[in-house]
Amino acid sequence: MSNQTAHATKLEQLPEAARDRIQQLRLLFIERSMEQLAQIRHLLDERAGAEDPRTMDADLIKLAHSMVGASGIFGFPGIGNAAFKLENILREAGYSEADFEQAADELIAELTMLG
Amino acid sequence: MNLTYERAHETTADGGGIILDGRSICIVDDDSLFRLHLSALLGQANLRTMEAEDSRSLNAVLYKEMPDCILLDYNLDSENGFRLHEQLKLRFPNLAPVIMLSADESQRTAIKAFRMGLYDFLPKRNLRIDEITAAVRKSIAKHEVETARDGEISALRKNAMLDDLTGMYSSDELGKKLQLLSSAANLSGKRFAILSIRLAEYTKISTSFGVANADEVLRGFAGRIRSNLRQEDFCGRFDQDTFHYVMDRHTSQASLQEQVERFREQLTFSHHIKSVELKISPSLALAVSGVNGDRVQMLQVLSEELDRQRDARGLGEAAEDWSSLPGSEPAAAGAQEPAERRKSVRMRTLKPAFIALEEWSSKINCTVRTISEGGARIRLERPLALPEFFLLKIATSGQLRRVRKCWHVNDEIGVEFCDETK
Repeated sequence: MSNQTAHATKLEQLPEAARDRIQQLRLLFIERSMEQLAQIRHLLDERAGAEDPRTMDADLIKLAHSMVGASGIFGFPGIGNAAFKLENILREAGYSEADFEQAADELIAELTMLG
Repeated sequence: MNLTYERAHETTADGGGIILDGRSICIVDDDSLFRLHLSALLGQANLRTMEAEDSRSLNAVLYKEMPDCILLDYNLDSENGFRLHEQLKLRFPNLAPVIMLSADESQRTAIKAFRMGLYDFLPKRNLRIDEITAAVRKSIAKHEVETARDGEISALRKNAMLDDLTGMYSSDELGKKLQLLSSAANLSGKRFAILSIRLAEYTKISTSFGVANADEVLRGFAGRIRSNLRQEDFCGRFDQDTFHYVMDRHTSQASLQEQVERFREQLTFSHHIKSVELKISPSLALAVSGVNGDRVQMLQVLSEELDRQRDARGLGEAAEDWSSLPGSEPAAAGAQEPAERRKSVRMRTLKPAFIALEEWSSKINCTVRTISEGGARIRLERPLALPEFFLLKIATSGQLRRVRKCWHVNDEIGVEFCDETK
């Protein structure tokens, strides 16, 4: 969270109009992240009941990849790091379910903190 | 963007001499929220921003105004940043420096980015605005140094006595020598002759096979002229595809005619560009001082005669269109015999196919328009940059074949099969 504090400090130094604009965009990012959190939970539920859980991997990779790309610039490096870890695990050919679950839990925890 | 070479040298490698205020940046990313946020942040660094979500909107932006720098996402919705960059380089000769942003942090991708001529590569995870502005500054500085250096090289080439592609006199030097000869001839009353020799197929080869291949043919063509150059004559490159061979001795009608026939014979040859054989022949025009007026009038006569011959060959506007090239479609009635000979018979088809790229694991739909034992002509749904080697699967045959790109014009590609499968 220290990076978020630094981000907030820098933000305070901006002119009011720019600060408002950037805050507004950050809120939109948070809103989108909440939607992505819901999508992840939905995919995990489907995954749990699926015959071959790995059929859901492509959708999860896409979601995680999108978070890796955007979260840094919005000042949420924790989400980026957790999403990066999950994406990398999912891209490994023979990843372990335990590693996957841990990475997914970490990402969910980061996203939940936003709300 | 208007720094001189010397001033550009004053900038340090990290772009310390570059002032970003008022510079323009184009952000290319399919994530609109990311674009808006980055645009707002860069705006605070006094940078002017433009946005594009894909190649189409990016082209529209670049045709309107070339920014000082482009931030290009590696993974656009349905496009690959590398391929888009290749297309941009072909389309915009004055392309601004491009920095790649990517959520893919693999070393392989980063190395590839630098190898493909991108100015910098920034991982998007934990990306900070000061990192972006530093990379922008550095890239602009590097680009300005390169642009200034290219300008210097062009200026040096312009002043050079010899043309660096063909080793003949450059156009400027040829002009000077011709002017001297003309003045001397006026005083002495002696006559001189100019034989204009054009590589008639240059534009066609350039359009269909690329400038590098056309230049290779031109180099060979010039070599043949050089080997027939008599000690008492001189020759130089007049323009892109034309040479002027100047004679001030042996200017009798019979001698000149003999020289014309000798060049016609020597400059008619075959040239192979991979699987394609091209028949090369010259367009020749002769002007003699006194008979065709003074030097200026002679040049005009030569130009008109070569243009007339080009029109007669049917290489005017139609040469820009691949479909009118010899060998690609049946020649129109009355047109000249095709100058190109393929080694095996091609059949016209309309087979759906797809291109598979090994490295990017992506598939691109296309249509096979003609096919032969050795290769095929394929049409893409839209123009795309493709690597030299890729895999082609023709839907009906079901075989995935390794192919090599021989030529690429707009949305059409000529490939040769590299495997043994028949």
